[in-house]
Amino acid sequence: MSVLKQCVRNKKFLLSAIILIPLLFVALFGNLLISHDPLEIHATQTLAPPSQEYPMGTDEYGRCIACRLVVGIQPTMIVAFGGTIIAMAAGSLLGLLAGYTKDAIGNAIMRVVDVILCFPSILLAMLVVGLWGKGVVNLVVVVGILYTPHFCRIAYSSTRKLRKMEYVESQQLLGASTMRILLKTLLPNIVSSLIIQFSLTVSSGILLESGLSFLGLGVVPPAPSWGQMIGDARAYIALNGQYMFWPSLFLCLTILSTNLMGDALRDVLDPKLKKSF
Amino acid sequence: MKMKKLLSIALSLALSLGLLAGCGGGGSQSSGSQATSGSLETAQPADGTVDTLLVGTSVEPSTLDPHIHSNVSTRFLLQNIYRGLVGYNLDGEIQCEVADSYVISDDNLTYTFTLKDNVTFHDGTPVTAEDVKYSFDRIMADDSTATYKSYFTGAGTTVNVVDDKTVEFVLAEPCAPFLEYLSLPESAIISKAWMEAGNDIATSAMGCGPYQFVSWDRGLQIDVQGYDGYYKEGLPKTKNVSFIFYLDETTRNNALLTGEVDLIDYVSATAVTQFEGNSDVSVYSRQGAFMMLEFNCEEGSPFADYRVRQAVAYAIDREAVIETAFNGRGEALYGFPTIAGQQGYNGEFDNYFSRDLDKAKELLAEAGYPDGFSCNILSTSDYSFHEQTALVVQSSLAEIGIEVTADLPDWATRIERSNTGDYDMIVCGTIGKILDMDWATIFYQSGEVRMDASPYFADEEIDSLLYQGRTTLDETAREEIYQQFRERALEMSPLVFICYREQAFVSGNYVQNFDFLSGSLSQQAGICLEQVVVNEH
Amino acid sequence: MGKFFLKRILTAIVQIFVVVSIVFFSLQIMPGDPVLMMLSRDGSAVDQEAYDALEAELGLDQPVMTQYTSWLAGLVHGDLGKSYGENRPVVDAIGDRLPRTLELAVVALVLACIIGIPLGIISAVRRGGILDLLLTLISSLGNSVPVFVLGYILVLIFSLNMEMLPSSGFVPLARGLENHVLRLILPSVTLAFGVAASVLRMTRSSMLESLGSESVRPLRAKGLSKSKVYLKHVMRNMLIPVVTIIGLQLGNLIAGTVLCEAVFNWPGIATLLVDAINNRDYPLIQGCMLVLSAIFILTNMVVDLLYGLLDPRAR
Repeated sequence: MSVLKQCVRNKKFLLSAIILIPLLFVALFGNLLISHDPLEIHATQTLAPPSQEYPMGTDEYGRCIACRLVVGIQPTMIVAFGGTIIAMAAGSLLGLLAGYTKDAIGNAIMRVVDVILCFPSILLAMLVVGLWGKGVVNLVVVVGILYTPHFCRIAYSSTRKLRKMEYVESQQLLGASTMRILLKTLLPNIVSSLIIQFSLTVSSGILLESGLSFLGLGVVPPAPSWGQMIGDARAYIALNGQYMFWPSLFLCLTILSTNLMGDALRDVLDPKLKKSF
Repeated sequence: MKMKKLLSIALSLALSLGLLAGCGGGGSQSSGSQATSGSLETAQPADGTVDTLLVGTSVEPSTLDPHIHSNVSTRFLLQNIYRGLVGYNLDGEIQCEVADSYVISDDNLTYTFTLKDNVTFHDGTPVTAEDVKYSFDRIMADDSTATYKSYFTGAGTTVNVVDDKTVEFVLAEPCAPFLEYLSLPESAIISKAWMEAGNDIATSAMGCGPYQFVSWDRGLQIDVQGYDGYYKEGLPKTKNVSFIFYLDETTRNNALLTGEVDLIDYVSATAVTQFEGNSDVSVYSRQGAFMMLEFNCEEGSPFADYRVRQAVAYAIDREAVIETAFNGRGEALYGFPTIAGQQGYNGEFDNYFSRDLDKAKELLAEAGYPDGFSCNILSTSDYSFHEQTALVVQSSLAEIGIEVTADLPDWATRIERSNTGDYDMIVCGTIGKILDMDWATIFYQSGEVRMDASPYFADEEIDSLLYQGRTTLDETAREEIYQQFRERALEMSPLVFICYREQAFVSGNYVQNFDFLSGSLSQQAGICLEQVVVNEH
Repeated sequence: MGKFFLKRILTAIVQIFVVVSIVFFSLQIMPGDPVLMMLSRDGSAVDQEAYDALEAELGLDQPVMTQYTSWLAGLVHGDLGKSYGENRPVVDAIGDRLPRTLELAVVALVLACIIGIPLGIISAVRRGGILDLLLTLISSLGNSVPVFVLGYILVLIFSLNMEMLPSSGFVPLARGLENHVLRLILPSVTLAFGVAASVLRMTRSSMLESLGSESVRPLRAKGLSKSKVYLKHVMRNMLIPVVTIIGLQLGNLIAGTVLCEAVFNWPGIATLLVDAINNRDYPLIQGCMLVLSAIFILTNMVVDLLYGLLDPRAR
């Protein structure tokens, strides 16, 4: 059975796709959907209840919450996906190299990469933000650095195992270049593990970005981000519950659906694990 | 059967807990100090009041050294423990505190203070002239880190002990605001004997104020207790005060709403608006600090030209700053931040500037920038009102062709860069340190790059007016001098003032007698705490 | 065997050393000036002489390498230097704060196990049933609700609306057990939720695994009662991976308290670190990072060693 078919038959996959696809659509085309400038301040109508014009009411600066919600998904997604892509590219490349080359060099690469794992992730992120400052770009890099070792380990261990396999050795004898062996022969073997790790990392990235933004260490205001909106809204939980409710709901939904996606992919791509469930 | 299953589950639970206990273990902690006297549970006196006031404060002090003014919250706390020779009362007048009386010599160079007989430190020893000398020598010492050191060294002060209860301050040249320097909370009297006994003044405190220091639970609270031997009869009215640290504003506000504290400081404009609709609380809000812009006037920068700075002053939409950064609370400043009546001020320059884009463009053109230029504005994203002010300035200046990039690092970076002048324009929220017009000296005098002054700005006329103002003692003459100074300061506009903002406290409505003044004295709210009564609630 | 242990322990020590060195040198290039933050937290002018005096007092006028070697020399003697902001040894500052964080983390962990393990067992026993489905759903939710969202939901319900529990703060045990415990409930429940979800999942899957394993099935066939099989064999097989996961979670949990402490004004080590970063209190940042990473590295090490003991292939 093809992977795609298996995916479509998986309930978790379907459920998460139903949530994720519209969210990604909003993230990509959100700017076209909004009717108000999410940064524009209306000092006369702060914390207004929902109305025809402002379906979710306004925040403490009189800005449209709905519009900020729509735009606020962008930094989250950019950080989560951008960071994860960087981590996957860097991690799997380093891992493949480390696994394929001589033991000494490979070990050295792994030790260096492992240093990152010695830091609790949110603390390292806080330190890096303190060093370089806040902002989406820095956060992308932070997530990229933080999760490189995870991908690196996966690539490293499978390459290690595969290196001695006959078909790799035969290619070496045929004189194929290292790069070619790495990308054409070894990479396809670890794709499924990488995809599973990818979905896990995206959800961690979303959590990290929202947590940092909540602490005021993430996206630079006035640009909105969900975590930051929740952080701002907490001052008004007793006054305007809507303000807190919407970003929280969407943040939880997003994380939930990426988690489900991860589970589903694991079920489909890693049948060995599935049995135990 | 069912019973058995339940049992097995319960057993497995117990088993897992047992395993856990092995890996945990840090669960309970024993605190050595059982007898903390500023305890939360204390019996209530019979007269319908409570003997403990719980204050939620926004900052945990970094040092308790009374000679360092590191922030308003710490000063608020220390004002209850320490007293100086003189100080402000709640009418904004200077009155004797530790001093019983003072005499100023005819040449205005010698201030002789006689100390009160009944003033004692919290260890029971009397305050002597020797202690006064020790305190000021400490402030002026070479390795001193006292905030207002240069006020005293600048006036060439020497302190002499005349006898046990008499002390004189001899100045090298007359200094009109000298008594105001002495009224600063940072001119506190400390005990020589206590210091020499090796006590650490940064982590502990011992003064002669209404409250004595009890304990500092790091990360939690500082407790103080009323001092029985305080020289003002019947004060303090509330026996215990706990200053509990709530660094996060939302948490602090919630703590007041849920009754965990009785009084909170540093309430933002948005929160003040919310609290005002609530009859369970009392809001104390005073016009205090002001927002302003400083400019890097280094040669070659567009801001080296006073016309460009004036253009900025004409272009800024001050009402928009008040609306967005301060939720509509505040007062626009189109002139000089001087309270009417201060050193002869009659409100003449209150509308020196106005919002006039044409005039601003004209000035820019005269200065050689008809098409504007680009520059940066330094502010911080740590405090929303700083950030919002910068953003409004940015959009205002765009209207006259100045393209501004907002630079919003964290507060620590912003402070460092402001001290080294690493910016074109910077948003500051600040205040005069003393009531006398001499407060302007630190803001306008030429000299090394520093906070509170525009880097590389130097104007001989201003320097000379400031010097005359400080050393002249005749009040009429001073009024004249300072009127000239204010006009010149506005013409040169090294600082462009935007608006006053509020300093606000909020308490439960059962807290009585809490009060403080506006203007620079809004930073000395601590003096009223000895009067505060907490009713039963 | 001994070689493996020695190697793993040495690695952990090297890791800790590398971490503190990285932190030390990163702080040197971090913008912001600790002297200014001490003298003028609210940004008013600082006296130049006072500045120089304090800089010399803190030793910040020394070359970086001198500062580094003297810090390392102190570290060997268990001296982490003196905090600028707290005006006392870093060790004391951490000594005050760490127990509070540990308390929160351990209570949360215990709660998570009390909730997670039995529910995981029920879920596995009732595999495929409605209860199982419901629990799986709740555990997915547990992994998806950020600590700060859950925290505020609980504050809204239990302190602002129902006025049952205090919204925040910390009261030392010495000031009364009741006050202490009341303030512990919300933060620990908040922190426990996510962990409980992980524990539930892990319990469920390893329970299923051991139920289906070859050593258990024959026992049932032999006619041993269900509860006896569960209690004696299944449980024993199951608990090892679960305990390992719990050990791993402890490291994460302590770092994860950053957000929880911020929500509840809990004066633990994470809040201390955030303040230290804001104040550029270098010795304190180094000290906190050292302790937190050390806990993290050491728990990982213990877990690795455990694995090594149980499963020789992992060495």
